[in-house]
Amino acid sequence: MDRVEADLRDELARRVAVAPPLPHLADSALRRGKQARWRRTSLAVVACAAVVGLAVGVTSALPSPPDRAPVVAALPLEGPPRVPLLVGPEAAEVLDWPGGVRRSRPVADGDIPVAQVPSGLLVVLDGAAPALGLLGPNDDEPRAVVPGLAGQDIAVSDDGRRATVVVSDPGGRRLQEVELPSGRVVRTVGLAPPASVGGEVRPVAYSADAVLVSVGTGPQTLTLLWERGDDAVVGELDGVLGALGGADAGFSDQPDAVGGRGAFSVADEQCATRVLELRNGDGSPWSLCDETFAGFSPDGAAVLAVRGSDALVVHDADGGDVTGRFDVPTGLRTYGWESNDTVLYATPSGDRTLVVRCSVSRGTCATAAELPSTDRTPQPVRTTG
Amino acid sequence: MGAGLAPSRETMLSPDRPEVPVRGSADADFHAFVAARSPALLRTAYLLAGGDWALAEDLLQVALTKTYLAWGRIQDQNAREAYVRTTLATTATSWWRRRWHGERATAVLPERVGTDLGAQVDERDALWRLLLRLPVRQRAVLVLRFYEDLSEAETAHTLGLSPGTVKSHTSRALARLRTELTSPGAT
Repeated sequence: MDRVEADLRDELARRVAVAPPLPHLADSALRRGKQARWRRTSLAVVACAAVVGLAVGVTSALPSPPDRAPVVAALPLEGPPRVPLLVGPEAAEVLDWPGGVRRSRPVADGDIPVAQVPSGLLVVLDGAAPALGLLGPNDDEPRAVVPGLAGQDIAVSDDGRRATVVVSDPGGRRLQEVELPSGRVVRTVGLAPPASVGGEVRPVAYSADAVLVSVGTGPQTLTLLWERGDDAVVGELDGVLGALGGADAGFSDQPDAVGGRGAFSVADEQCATRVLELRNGDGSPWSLCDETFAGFSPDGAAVLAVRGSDALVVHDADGGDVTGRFDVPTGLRTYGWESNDTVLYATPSGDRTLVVRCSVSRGTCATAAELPSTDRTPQPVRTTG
Repeated sequence: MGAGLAPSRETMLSPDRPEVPVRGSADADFHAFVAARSPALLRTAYLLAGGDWALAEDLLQVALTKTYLAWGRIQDQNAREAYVRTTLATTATSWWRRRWHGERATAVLPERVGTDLGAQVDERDALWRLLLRLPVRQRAVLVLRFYEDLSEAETAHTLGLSPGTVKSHTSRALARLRTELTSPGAT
C-alpha cells in the first residue's frame, strides 16, 4: 500500500469520526418503510392524489380525465409550469398535469421518473429487465414502451415526442431513438463493447437536429453528436468537446442564443458550468466555475445557475453577465424556468414548502403556492411539451 | 405500479421467494438492526454522498426504506447490511447522474484545488477535495475498498460491476489522486 492509499484510508476514517447522532432513525425508518409498503400495495391512486394538486391556469380549456377526481387548490401558476415537483427522490408522489390538471402520482419504489412528456410521465422501470415506461394520464401503472433498457440515461426531445436510449439484446447494445408514446424505433445504431470505445455510451440531451451522446467517464469522456440522417455516431463537435470531462449537459437551440450558433452547457472537471458555442470550433464563450448550471430559458437568451444552495443567479446567455439574482436564505429545494421571464423555486418554510415565482425583469418574487410538508427532498422532473 | 410490470431490484436477490409482508417480530428485527447499524451506515452514506451529512441522512433513509420492503426476503444478517450498502451506493449513483437536471441544490460546490490555495490547504484536505471531485462511481469504489475494507470481488458485488471494472476504477481514481496531489499547488 503506497502513501496515497494509506492517507486515503486515514482521511476517510477521520472525516467520519464525528458523525451526528440520529436517535430516532430506527423509528422513522420503520415508519417510512411501512408507508412505502402501503404505497406499494395500495391501489388507491386517488387517495394519494388527495395530497396536493395544482390547477394550472390554461387547463380549464383542456378536458380533464373523467375517471379521476380533479385535485384541489387552484394555484396561480400561469401557463404550463416547467417545474413539476417530484416529492421524494424515487419512490413518491409526482405532481403532473395530464390533461392540464396536476395531481399527485405514486411512483413505485425503484422506478425513476425521467421526464414529463405530453403523453404522460416517462419512468425507468426498475427490475430484472429494465424498461422505459410511460405512465399515461389515465393509467394506474406505467406500460413498458422500450424494453431491454441497458442504462438509466435517457435523452428526451424538447417536444417530448422522441427519446434516445441504449438498449441491449442478444444482438448486442444499440443506441436507439424511439417515437413517443408508441415506442416505435425511428433509427438505431450498433455500439461496440464499452471496452473498445473507451467506456459506457450515454445519451445526454437533444438539440434540434441531433442527439448529444457521451462516451466514457471523467477526463476521457468524448462528446459526440448523433445527427439526423446519420446511421452512425460520428463527429466530435468539431473537436471542441472531445475529452472535456463530465458531459452532464443542457442544450439551447434557439437561433439567438450565444451568437446565433446554439449553445450547450457542460459540467466538466474544472467548472460546474461552461456555456459553449456549437459547431463554431472556438471553445467556450464563458464559464461559471462556482455555479451549477440549471438550464437555459425557453428562448435561450438566459441561463439559470445556482450558487451554493441558497441563491439563484440569472445570466445573459451571450456573455454571462448577471441579469438577476434571487437569494433564498431558507435554502433551495428545487428550481427551474417557468417562462422567459419567470423562475420558480421551492423552499422550506416551517412544515410547509413554498413555491415562489420570481420575475427576472422586475427583480421581484412572490409566493405562488404552498405545499404540504414532505419529509423528503422535493425534486423537479425534467419537463417537455 | 412499475413493480407489476417488472420485478423490483429486490426480487433479483431471491427470485424464488415470494414477497413476504413484514410484520410483528420482523418489524422489531428491522428496528433493532437499524438502531444497531445506523451509525456505521450513516458514515458510509456520508462518504458516498460527497461529505454532506444532511444528504447522507436522506440517502440512508431511502436505502433503509428499500431494505424494509425487502426485509422478509433477506434472512441472512450479513446480507442485510450488504443489501443496505448496495442500495446506498446505487442510490447515490442515481442521484448524482440526475444532478444535471438541476433537481438537487448541492449544499456546497466542490471547490477546485487551485494554485492560490496552495499554502493554506494541507495535503489531507486536498486529498479529501480531490476525492469529492472524482466521478461518483470511482468515489464509491474507493469508499468501499478503503473505508469499508471490502475486497475487489465484494466491491464488485455491492456495486453490480465486474471485478475488472472495480479494478480499473480503483486504479484510475488512485492515479488521478496521485497525479493531482503531486501537481504544483495541489496542497
